[in-house]
Amino acid sequence: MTAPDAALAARAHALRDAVGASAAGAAALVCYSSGRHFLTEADPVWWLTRLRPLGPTAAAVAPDGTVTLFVEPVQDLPRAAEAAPGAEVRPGGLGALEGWRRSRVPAGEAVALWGGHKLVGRSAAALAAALGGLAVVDEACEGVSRRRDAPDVACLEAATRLAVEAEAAFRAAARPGAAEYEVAAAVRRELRRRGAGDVFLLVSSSQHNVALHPPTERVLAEGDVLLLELSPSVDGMYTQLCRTAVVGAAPSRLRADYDLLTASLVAGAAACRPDAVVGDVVAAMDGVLAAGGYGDFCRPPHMRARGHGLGLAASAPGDLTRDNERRLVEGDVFVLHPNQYLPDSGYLLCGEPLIVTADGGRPLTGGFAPLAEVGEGW
Amino acid sequence: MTTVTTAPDGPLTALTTMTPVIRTGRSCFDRRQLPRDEYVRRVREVERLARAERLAAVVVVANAASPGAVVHLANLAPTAGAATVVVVPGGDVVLMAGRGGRREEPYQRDVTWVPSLLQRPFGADSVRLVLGERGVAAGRLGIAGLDDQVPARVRDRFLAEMGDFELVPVDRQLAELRRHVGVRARAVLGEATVILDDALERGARTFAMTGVPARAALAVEDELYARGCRDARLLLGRPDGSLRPFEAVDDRAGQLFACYAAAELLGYWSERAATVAAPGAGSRLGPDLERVVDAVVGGLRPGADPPAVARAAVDRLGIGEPVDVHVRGLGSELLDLPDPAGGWTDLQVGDPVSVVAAGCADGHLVVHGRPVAVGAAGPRPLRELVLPGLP
Repeated sequence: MTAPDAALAARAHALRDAVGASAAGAAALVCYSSGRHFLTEADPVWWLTRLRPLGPTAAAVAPDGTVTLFVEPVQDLPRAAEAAPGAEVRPGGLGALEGWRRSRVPAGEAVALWGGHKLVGRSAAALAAALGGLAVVDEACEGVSRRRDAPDVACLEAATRLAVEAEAAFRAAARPGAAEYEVAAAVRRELRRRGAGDVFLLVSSSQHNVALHPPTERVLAEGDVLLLELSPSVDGMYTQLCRTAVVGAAPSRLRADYDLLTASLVAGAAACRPDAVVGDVVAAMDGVLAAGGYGDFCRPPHMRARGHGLGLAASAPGDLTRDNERRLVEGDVFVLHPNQYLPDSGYLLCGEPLIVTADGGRPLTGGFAPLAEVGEGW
Repeated sequence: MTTVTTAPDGPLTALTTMTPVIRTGRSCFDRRQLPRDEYVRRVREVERLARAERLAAVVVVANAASPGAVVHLANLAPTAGAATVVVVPGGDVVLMAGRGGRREEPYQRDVTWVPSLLQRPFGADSVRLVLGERGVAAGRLGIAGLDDQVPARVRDRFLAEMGDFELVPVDRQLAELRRHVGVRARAVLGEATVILDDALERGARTFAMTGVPARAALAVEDELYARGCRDARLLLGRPDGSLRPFEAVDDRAGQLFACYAAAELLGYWSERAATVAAPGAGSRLGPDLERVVDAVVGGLRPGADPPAVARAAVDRLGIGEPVDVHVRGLGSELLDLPDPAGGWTDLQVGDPVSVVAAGCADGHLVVHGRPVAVGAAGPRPLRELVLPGLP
């Protein structure tokens, strides 16, 4: 499921236009990736070309909209050419950009940079030398990439389908005697078997969780509350499901607390309309919890954020916190999750990936998941 | 890593792997193998370095993608962002766990060796706070990771705001300390190698049943995670003669299953490589590459110069096809230990070293490789170094 050449060209032209209109006023753009990827960050090269870089990589957009991909290591050229057939693929590190700038960008025209957030000291110096300075335009470019186009939405929906299908493997693996990391491995196996790309997974368990953490050797037992954060990708588009399960029968108090989180999630989704302020969405979610008697728990360390952006297209809208004043735009995709510590039930997960529409946030899963009961006989 | 090649246009392979967005396998370290006295030993080494270099303190920052320097001292790998360790000689050690906040603290305390834990990001404010509380207000400050582990804007701000300290890069010295992998860490590497061997065997069985290299790679990856590895990276030979990251499964049949696999277990990376042919489709290069690996491994004696050993083996065997030989140290990072550019010309007893040979014949990529520990009487397979009594 690769972005077709037409999508690459459309993206390149949209980016060029955006940086031209930005304060940088640049005629050309260099998209940069360090080759190190993070779940909630944009990866400009990956998004533009569908090449997931192995090392420092630049995709240069000339004033005419053509894309040249500078790839390291040189042994990765065949993969790059397959991933981005609409781009000219060349060997060479960041130093090769200087030659591109001289030959493709008219003298006196500025070249902007998307990927400033991925620069470490050494690559910053190399890029500054090649481009004649660093005019970082991350926000302007993410203004383009955060409005997911049809190829991105197709990948997101495919990744979400895989995640939903893998929930059955989670329920099957979550048996007394299984270690957390073994449950994680079983879920990963199912996702990868079905064709998922990179997978991010958290599995943690306790009779009373205080937080979510990476999987350990802890062995499951009857009565454990099991937390799963499930983030598979398809062609670099990540989704995320947040799930809670009980090994055995769920106590009524836990069930009531989980229902309250679901109500908070539903309220938040309804508030996710174009132009809504992120902090207001969070307030809507916290309001439900406060009405349930948990207002004092709507702050760290009892929770971290009510959701976050999903890479690799854009970090937007960022962490969903009270102080986030950014506005949502139609096409934004993020996970909304009132994940939360509650005094009687411990830390619980409850979250869905959403896309912002004129009618509110639409869960890519098609709904809101109930609390699960797993283990023998459940 | 050192690479010797006979290919006219440079190495055929780079052994560069793909980083996941977040590493998510088993995260807890086995304290039977790596108990707290290991931490005391490592901190003392840094304190000795500080005294020798007249440093008031040593600050080590590492990000989630390459956390080896912090893992080495703190036994905690950051999941996101960067973590920082501050060592004040004669004082205590402080871990600043970075992104995540207080919510993560119970888990972090469960895992780390370091008792003093702060939820603060890397930066001048944080470092000054820690140093000030320990009576360090000026002087020479050793710093590692500043140029390649934190965003450029964070580095620039740090440099501007720490002007009253003399910042002394100690990346090379800390890498040298990490290079000397102790007996307990070698045992972990041995265990990782056993798992890698088993995983590649499972991959070979899957390839025999399916004839699909990607299905076999999936079996390898699954075995690594199911056995408790924290991270697994695979490169897979392709019909065009390239060796590429295994990104997602497909059902294309192939004549060869050529696989390089690296796995992190309990903070240490080991690696293996092997090629299996479908019935009737053997590559004549396979036995040649095994001889290359054997010859290089046989030459890895204390005091040996690995590039020279690899070059001599390739020249002596006179293989007609282009061949790469990669020799690198193994440790808490996949790529960086020991680095020939940092002066790796003298192998020492105990050094864990991996030898991987790759070549291309008839359009097929073939790869073989195994790790050993350098010994006075010759190399020992790493898998033999597992501590007795452990599962």
